[in-house]
Amino acid sequence: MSWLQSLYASTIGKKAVMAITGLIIFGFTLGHMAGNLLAFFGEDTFNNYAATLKGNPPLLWGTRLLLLTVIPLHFLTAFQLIKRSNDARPAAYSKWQPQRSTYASRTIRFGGIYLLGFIVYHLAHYTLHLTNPEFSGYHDAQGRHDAFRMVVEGFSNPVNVVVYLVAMLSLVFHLSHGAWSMFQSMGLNHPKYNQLRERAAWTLAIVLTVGFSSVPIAVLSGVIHR
Amino acid sequence: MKITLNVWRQSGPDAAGSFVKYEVDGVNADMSMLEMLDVLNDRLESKGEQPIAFDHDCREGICGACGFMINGVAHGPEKEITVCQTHMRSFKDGDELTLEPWRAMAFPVMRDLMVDRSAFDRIIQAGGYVSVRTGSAPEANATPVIKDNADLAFEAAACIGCGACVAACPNAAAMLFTSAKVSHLGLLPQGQPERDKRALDMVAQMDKEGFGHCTNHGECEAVCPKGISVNFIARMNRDLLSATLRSTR
Amino acid sequence: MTLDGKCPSGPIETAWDRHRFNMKLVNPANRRKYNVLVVGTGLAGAACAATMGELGFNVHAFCYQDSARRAHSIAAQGGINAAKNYQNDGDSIHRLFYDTVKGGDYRSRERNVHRLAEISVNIIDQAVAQGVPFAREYGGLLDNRSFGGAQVARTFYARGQTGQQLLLGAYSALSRQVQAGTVKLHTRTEMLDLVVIDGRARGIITRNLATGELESWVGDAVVLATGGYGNVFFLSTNAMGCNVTATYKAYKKGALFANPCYTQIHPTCIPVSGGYQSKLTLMSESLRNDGRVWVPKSAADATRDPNSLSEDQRDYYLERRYPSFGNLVPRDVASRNAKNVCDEGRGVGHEVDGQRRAVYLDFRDAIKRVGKSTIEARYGNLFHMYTKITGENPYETPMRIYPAIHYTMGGLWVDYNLMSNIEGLFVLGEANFSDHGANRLGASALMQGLADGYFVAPPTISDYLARVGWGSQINAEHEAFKVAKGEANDRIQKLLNIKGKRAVDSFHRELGNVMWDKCGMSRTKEGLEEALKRIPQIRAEFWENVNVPGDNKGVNQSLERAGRVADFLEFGELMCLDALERAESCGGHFREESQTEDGEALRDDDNYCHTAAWEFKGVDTTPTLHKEALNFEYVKLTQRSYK
Repeated sequence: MSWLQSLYASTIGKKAVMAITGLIIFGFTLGHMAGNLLAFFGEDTFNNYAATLKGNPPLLWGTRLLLLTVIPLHFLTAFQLIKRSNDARPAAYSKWQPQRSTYASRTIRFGGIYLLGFIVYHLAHYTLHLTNPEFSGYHDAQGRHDAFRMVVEGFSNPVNVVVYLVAMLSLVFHLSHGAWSMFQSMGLNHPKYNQLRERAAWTLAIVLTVGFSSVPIAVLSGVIHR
Repeated sequence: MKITLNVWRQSGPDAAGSFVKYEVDGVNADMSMLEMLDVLNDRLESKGEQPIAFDHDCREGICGACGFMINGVAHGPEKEITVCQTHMRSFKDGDELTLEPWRAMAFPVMRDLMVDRSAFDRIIQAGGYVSVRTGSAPEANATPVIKDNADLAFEAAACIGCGACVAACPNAAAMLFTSAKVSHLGLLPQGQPERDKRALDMVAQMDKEGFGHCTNHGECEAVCPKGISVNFIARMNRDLLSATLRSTR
Repeated sequence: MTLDGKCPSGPIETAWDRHRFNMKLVNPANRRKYNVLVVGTGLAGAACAATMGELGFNVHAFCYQDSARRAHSIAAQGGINAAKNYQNDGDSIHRLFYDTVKGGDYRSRERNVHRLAEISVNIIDQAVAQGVPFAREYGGLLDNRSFGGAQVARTFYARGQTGQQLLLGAYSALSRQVQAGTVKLHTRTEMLDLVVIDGRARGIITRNLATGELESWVGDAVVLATGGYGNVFFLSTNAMGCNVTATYKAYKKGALFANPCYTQIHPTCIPVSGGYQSKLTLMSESLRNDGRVWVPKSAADATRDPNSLSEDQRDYYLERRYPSFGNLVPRDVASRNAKNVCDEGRGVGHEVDGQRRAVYLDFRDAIKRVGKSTIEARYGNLFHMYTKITGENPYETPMRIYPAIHYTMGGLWVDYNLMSNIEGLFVLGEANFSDHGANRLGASALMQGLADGYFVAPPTISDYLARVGWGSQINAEHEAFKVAKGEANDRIQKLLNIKGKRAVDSFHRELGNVMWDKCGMSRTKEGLEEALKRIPQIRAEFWENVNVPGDNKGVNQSLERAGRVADFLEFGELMCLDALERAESCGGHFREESQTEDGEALRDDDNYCHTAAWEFKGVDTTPTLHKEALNFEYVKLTQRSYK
């Protein structure tokens, strides 16, 4: 497997790792968002969805293991690349004017770092209930874990909503460049489809962000309530 | 016109450098940037002061020797042009210009605005060629080349090796330079036998030289005096990934 | 000294083949024991170094640039000729040979030129195999164009960057050998002297331009591929660093300098805009296919907006004087006519030193005839370049052009093997004098550089090495190396210690002005004699009043330039002397005393059908002239006419 090691050692190999792990994370978030939107269909649907997931350990743990591999890899590789970039230009310019790069491309690493912090908080919040131990004790009428109540209570706190919305804003920028960049890093490039590539990147980023943001906003504004 | 220059002065590779301010009056709009520096250097020399060192040779934008940052932009404000072809009419009377050398670990400053770009030569030596001995070539028209590919190969081959792509890249990456050569030869039938090996070897050398990675900002394309497209970077990525999967190494 | 060109006798068509068979070979196992020093990495130098490396010789290649890829061959725009006859338009090796001899105004060696025409076809094969992206037709085969008034389309091209693409091909071949370890590349390294021991070239002294260190290199053969000396004029289309030092130092060590007065002026360059001008930019000659050249009839109209001048206020002087060739007359004729109208005071554009030196090249009628889009497709990139440099739009305002020094046909004298009269000193490409006679045809410089480097020099150098054998005891401790290095160092110290009042370039400009006025597009006995008085005076002042700041540790660009200018200040005199001696007009050398009634160049075949090769006798001593008679067996001498 030395070829894999040497691929990972190369800058292009690392970018491929970023692309592939990014794609997997993206796929997961898409599914995650679809699940979240079930909150609009009320307590029963949402809790049923949560219970179904929990009742299927191979799916749940398969996904968790995949993410536990892929997300750290995505971040580890990113940190290695950032270090490489810093090493490649030890002395900064006294003056530098961007010509083509976008706000999204220049802030992708900062957005990424925010999202890392966000993921840790999000897991502590809704998965491990470390921030709110009382969440573990919520059960609905049918004895299922009352995930719906947890979400509604969680997002009734405006601070939480702000944290989530900022994360979603980071996500839109992160993805709008990241998705396009993924195609480029994997060499998926053809003059005929290049424009489509950029549009698709933006569209998916916006869909994800709007989808994810809609639930906390709906809770806070009372559209979703218990 | 009167122009104020902030020029990076550094007396040698190991010396510390700093910006020095020069006022140049009597600047003519038809002067090139380098001619304006010639005028300043003539004045410095006549006074026995060290002139500002910068690489330059053909002064018609093709040899790739010249290049430095003008106000934070590689090769200055005009598009698809080198500093030797940048004329002073691009600036106004009273402008203040900051001239700074390319900055990258792989391009150490030698003196003032002059840097060592021999890393580029070593990337080419690692595989930027078709292995054909003198005299062993087949008849030129024996191998037709699809015109679109030939034209695209030419666009990649137009690279002048000036280093602006590295200078402008926030990661000091040499991806555009390396990909231009990988693509130029990879697009032609003559380059096929060594295509995988070339991509692997050139990228390995590029990494070894200490250049950064590509974050797809496109800064390189924006300052490239030959307008070489970042599409060639994608092409190189594809070549490297498929070479890795395909080759026996 | 009798000059023997060592040309093989017998039928010209088989001369090179027979000659090659008669050459000695070096056993492959012994090749690495020979050191070959190649100075210059342009087309000729890179091609030669790469090929010698492939053969297994131990090669050291040197260039003053920071990379071998930057040699000035890179700037050639138009193309490269080859007698492939892909267009089926009647081309052949013999026709290319004939055109080149005639184009050179019958001042080249027939057998050298024939060999060049033969090899031209191999060059294209080689370049294509290396991946040079020549222009192609939709069928995937190579495209050709007609160039420089040739009646056949034999020019291969890669847009306007043919020189660049061919040089990158040679550079890639060189890089491959560097990787293989057969070639050691020394960039930012300038040759300062040639070391000759017992009549053989045995090495060179170089200065490392990054550290200032002087080094001695021992070789079994020395190859100079250091280009031309056009920068003696200060303003030329050459790169800023192009210089005569390597060939001039070889001349001072006994190599003969042949025909130094043969220089080529290119008619379509962007004119000088002011006293600060550092170089001139060439615009492809192809522009004359559609552009019409004119100046105002009256000098009083010189400053008026050209578009406001009516037809009868314009003088289309080329069309008027040469009705059949019109704007497409050869380079030298077009250039001299531009000079003449400007000398009459009818020049246009910026006034520099009290004179307007430019003529209009007008596309108004062409745009009317074929439309702007067609003109854009044909010349878009050239128009773009013109706009970048001048800030004017040639679609609306006529271009301004003026001739400029572009190429030098003269160079070190070499025999058929490209070896100079110093044993083991080979001279390739523009640095030698051999193939272009008194005038070079368009798209022939690339051809000659690559022919010399890839195909001619490697076998002839091998032959020389096989004859002299290996295992000589000479090393860098030899007295001759110590002396040469000591002299190089003394000169550097001398330059650094003058500490006068004038910058290096001011002397170079002053020399350039004298050369351009007296030894430029047209030359007279009086003018040349005046120049021969003036140049030693400039030289004397240089050695008293130049200011070269800094020291010899590390990068010192003033010192680099000072050394080159010091050599130009001696070389300029040799050029003027040669121009004075050749009291005929031929090709790029126009002596006003020798012209036809119509003012065209008039050769004097009875007295000057020879190569003039000069032998150095001391800086302030007149060199000795040696003549090599030129014999024409296959091409009949005629007077050129373009009426």
